[in-house]
Formats: sequence, C-alpha cells, structure tokens
Amino acid sequence: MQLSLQDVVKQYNGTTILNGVSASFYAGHCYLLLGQNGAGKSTLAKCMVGDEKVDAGSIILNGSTSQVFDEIAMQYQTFESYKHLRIREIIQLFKILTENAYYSEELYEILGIHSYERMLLKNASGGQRKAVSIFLAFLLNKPILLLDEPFADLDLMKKKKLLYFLQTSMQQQNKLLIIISHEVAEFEALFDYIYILDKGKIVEHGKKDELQQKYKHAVLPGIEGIYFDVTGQVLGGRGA
Amino acid sequence: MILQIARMYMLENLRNVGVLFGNLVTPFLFIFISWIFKISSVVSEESLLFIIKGQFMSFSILLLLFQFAFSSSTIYLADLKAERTFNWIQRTDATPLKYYVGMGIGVVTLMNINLILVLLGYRLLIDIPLVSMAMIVLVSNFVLLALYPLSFILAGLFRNGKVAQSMLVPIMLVLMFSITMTTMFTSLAGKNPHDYFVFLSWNPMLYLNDIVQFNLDLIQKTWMPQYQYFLILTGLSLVLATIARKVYSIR
Repeated sequence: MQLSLQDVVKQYNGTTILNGVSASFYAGHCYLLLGQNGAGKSTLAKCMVGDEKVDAGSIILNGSTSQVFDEIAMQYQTFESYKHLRIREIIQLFKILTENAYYSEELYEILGIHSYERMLLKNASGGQRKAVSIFLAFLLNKPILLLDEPFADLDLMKKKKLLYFLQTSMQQQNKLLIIISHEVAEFEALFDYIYILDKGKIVEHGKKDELQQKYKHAVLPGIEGIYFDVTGQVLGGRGA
Repeated sequence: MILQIARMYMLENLRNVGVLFGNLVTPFLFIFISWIFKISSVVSEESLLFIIKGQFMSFSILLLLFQFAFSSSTIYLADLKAERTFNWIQRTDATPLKYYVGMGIGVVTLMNINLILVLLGYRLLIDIPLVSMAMIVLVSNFVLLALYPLSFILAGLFRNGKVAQSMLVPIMLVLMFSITMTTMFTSLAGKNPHDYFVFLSWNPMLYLNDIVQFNLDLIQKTWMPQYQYFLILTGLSLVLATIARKVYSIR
C-alpha cells in the first residue's frame, strides 16, 4: 500500500499554507512529520484525511484518487463531541458504528481509560480527551493512521507504554503510521522515515538512519539535531 | 446502529440538565397554573375551562413541541458541526442519513413521552377524550416531521449551539406568537381567525394550533379538512428536507 501526495497546494484567504508538497508513504512503516508551529503540518494532515479540500495537486492511494479518505483514520489533538455522554458510552457508540472495529483491551489499559470511563466527557481533562481520541482512532481500524501530537498531554508512563504499543502491534498489522509530534527525544526508535516541513514545503526527507548519517555533525543529538541543522530551529522552540 | 444513535441522543438530552429543565419548565408550569386556578375558584367553571383549553393547554403543547422537536435538535446539530463530530462519524460505517434517522427517532421518542405526560397532566384537571388526545399526538408528530428538517437548515446557518440558542428565541416568538396572537386579537375584534390563516400557512404551528383547538371543542371546524393539514405538513417536510440537504454541511 502506497499513499502519495503530489504537489499539494492549500491556501486560506489568499495565504499559501501548503506550497507544492510531495511525499510518499508505505505500509508497515512509521513516518514522522516535523515542523515548527504554522509550518502547515496540521493543514497537511487535514488534507490527507479529507477534512480540507486541496486547491491543487492530488492525494493518491495505490494509484487511485478515489476512496482515499475512507482508508485513513486521524487522531485529532482533542475530542470535544458528546459532552454529556460517559467516556465508555462514547467508545461503545463508535464500536457499534464501526463494523470492523479494532477494540484493543491493551490500548484501553495503556491509556488508563478504566479509571475514568464513567466520567462524562465534559468533565474530562485535556489528557483524558486526548486518550479518548487516540483510542477511537485505533478503534476505526483503518490501514492508515495519522496521529497528531499523540504523546502531548499524556503522563510519562502512558507515553512509554504507548510507544511500545505502537512499535509492536502496529507493525504486526502492517499499518501505515504517520505521526505529527514535537516530542521526539524519547521516541526516536519508533520512526522509520522523517519529513521536515517548513513554510509549506518539504525541506528535507528520508530514512531516519540516512538522515542521521547525513547530519552526523549536528550540534544536537538525534532527530532534534537533524531538525536544527535543516531549519536552524530548535524543536518546539526558537531559531538559533 | 440507528437505535444506538437514538439512545445516545436521548441520553445526551436527558443529562443536559439546563436544557432539559428549560424544555420542561414552561409546558409543565402552565399545568401548575391551571391547577392553582382550579383550586382557587377565582373564575367560573366555564371560564376556567376556556382559559385552560384556549390558552394554557394550547400554549403548553406548542411550547413543548417547539422545544423538543425543534430547539433541542437545532442546538444539537449546530454543536455536532462546531465540534466536528462528523469528522469522526464519516470514518465509521454510519452514513449521515443513518445518523439523522437515528437522531430523529430520539427526537420523536422524547417529544412523544413528554407530550403524553403533559396531556395526562391536563387530563387530571379537565375532561379530554382519549380520541382527542390521540389526534393531538398525531398532528404533533406531523408538525415534528416538518420542523425536524427546518432544524437542519438553521443549524447549517449558525456557527455553534450557543449562537443557535440565542437565535431560537426570536424564531420561537415568530413561530408561536404569529399564531396565538393573531387568533386572540382577531377573535377579540369579532372576526374569524380562519380568514387570516392563509397568510400564516407557511407556519407548521398553525396546523397544530387549529387541530388542538378543534379537538378541545373550542372551534366547530378546522380551517381546512384535517387530512389536508397532514398532506401540507408532509409536503412542507419534503421541501424543507431538500433545502436542508444543501444548507447543512457535515464539514
């Protein structure tokens, strides 16, 4: 399975957010999409899942532009719907609405949903809503999964368990995983490929190992060093 | 799947205490006021009957229908859009049509339960034949059929549930008072309200109010034969549903 973006352009009110983005993603791998705030990561994600229409270019799945969006699930940064339902009722609703739902007890446990499953969503914290969003994205059981800042708002233990879950179960299912994240230091083992987005363009991409070799003299270690050398920016911070 | 959607809609509405209280308080308040009138004997038996049937009960039914069949669903739909719920739903196997049907079942169920409770409440105070009650319930469901697609149109125009909620007040005044005030003032002027109904035929509440008044023996005949009301409301529902498809976007 191959997902390709070809010269994707997206504008809002005359401002170009994505300026000819091209990329290829393959099943069984995990891709990291990096970029500073406003680089166009979330817009690109929304275009990839069909929430936003592209102004030019195309999004192709296995050589076809039709039914691309049916094959992609996205974990949004938060979950705001059904405020007066209990969290377990929301999960139950989506389980019933999805014929081929992937209900993972392991993920339920990792995200600690048992401890707040009776809570109404309106009373849930940011981290708890994020956990619901992650669980539902997996529940939809699509071959392509796009996670938007999955580690933010989760406590350290949940982050580590989620990393392990992503590494093991996702690769066993041969899914394509695309992750937008500023937090990379502790999760580098997860990523196979890296795309760096700056001002609406892909400014660097490649296999993580090859990029690490290419930028081996970077002043910062690992992926953060690659990002710093390419953009002159510190991940989640200011420029040099 | 559809029943689960209906169940969740009802649960959300029942747990939203503020909205639920707002929906119930006015219709049931009129029952309480009617009871106070009855026990205080400040008016004659005949006047009491006329006040309850002509004002309190008609108003309770109209308000209840407006709240449960229109107001709640408009706010709910506006929030679904604002909270981007359909970004999630469209990736499940539930089509928008299935979702709207499920939600519609929830709306119908909540409205009917509360309507029957209101009618039973008034039945404790005045004599209402079961046939009349059944007829009022029937026409209420046809009015709901017309109002349900209208709620999609309005939800499509409003940014979120809070904006919808603020806009629903003037809409309620237009939908309800255009009927009740016209009927009252033309009657006081010694004219037949039916002569003016043609100007209000766009308003689904007109048909409800006229059938309610007829079934409570307040008028001798309806403006048009009752079966024509049902046909008009069905036609209105189809027209509004066509517009709603264009106006209410899930994105």
